[in-house]
Amino acid sequence: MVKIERISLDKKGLIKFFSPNEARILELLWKKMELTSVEIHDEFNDLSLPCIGGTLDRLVKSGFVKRKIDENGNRIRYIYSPVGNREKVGLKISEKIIESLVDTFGSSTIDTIGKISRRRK
Amino acid sequence: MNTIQCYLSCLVESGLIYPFVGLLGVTITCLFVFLINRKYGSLLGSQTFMTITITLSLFSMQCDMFQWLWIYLGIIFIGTLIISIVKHYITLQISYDICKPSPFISKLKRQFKVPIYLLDTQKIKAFAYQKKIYLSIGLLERLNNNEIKAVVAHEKYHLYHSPNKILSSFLALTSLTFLRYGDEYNADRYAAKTTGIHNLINALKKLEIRDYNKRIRKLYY
Repeated sequence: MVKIERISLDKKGLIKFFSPNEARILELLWKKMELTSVEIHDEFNDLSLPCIGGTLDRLVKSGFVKRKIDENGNRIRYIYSPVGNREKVGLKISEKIIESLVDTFGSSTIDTIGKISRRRK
Repeated sequence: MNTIQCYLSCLVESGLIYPFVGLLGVTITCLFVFLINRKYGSLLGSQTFMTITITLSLFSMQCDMFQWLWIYLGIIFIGTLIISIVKHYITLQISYDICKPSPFISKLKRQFKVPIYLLDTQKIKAFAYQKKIYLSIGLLERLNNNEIKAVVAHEKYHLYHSPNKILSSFLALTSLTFLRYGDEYNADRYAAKTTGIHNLINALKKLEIRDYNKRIRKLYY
């Protein structure tokens, strides 16, 4: 879950920063905005409900997904929604990575970021 | 003189050999009774007698054999410390996960007359701990009302009839038998009797409980 030591730059897309299940669930939540765990399970039949449950708990704990308790009548359930859109998550991850690089390499990281941004403009 | 001969000679010379043999006999009898009837009382009895037998035999030791008493006491001390730390950690973990009381839980509480708490997690969890029942939202999402009642009845049995886990762990340690009493089948029978066998079976299947086939078979025999 976006732990610096677990970032795999050789992978493509969101699984550079998230586990494959976390990435799939996050993509789905960005698309549908509000879902219950059963609805997520309906979309991903290859994943068991306990596996989806554990993944959702991790996403909530790390602040990428929020949930509210929905209690109507005799039922009680969670409704999940993403905390931010794709761009906001990108910003959060970039900040974390850059902070870690600055901690390790100091001002040379900032110089490199400057160089890259000038090159891209 | 080898270790066993030395051990026996100490026992004989101390005059504790007869109480030792008597206690050992009672311990073995209790253990046999437990193997036949699987009742918690028999296991508790055998472990208590075993603890007394070990302590008595170690007190009869002379010379360097007496050091075994200190090793035994050391094992008990470290074991008790580990049990206490684990207990403290579990209590902390539970208190962190507890969420606000809900009308749904209040209804269950009134119905079963037991304290029930809701755990704020999508994971499937249901357990009885320190005179309270804990159910996770993940579990409540998956089951219908009748199945939830079966789970609560199962946990209620543990609350009032199952052995105290701390005492059970402590006795398993002091008696050096490391035997723990499992009470799942009795709790299943109680839940099936009070809330209906099909509700319990459905709950066990939906929650994908380990060994659920074995537990379902036990309900019928």
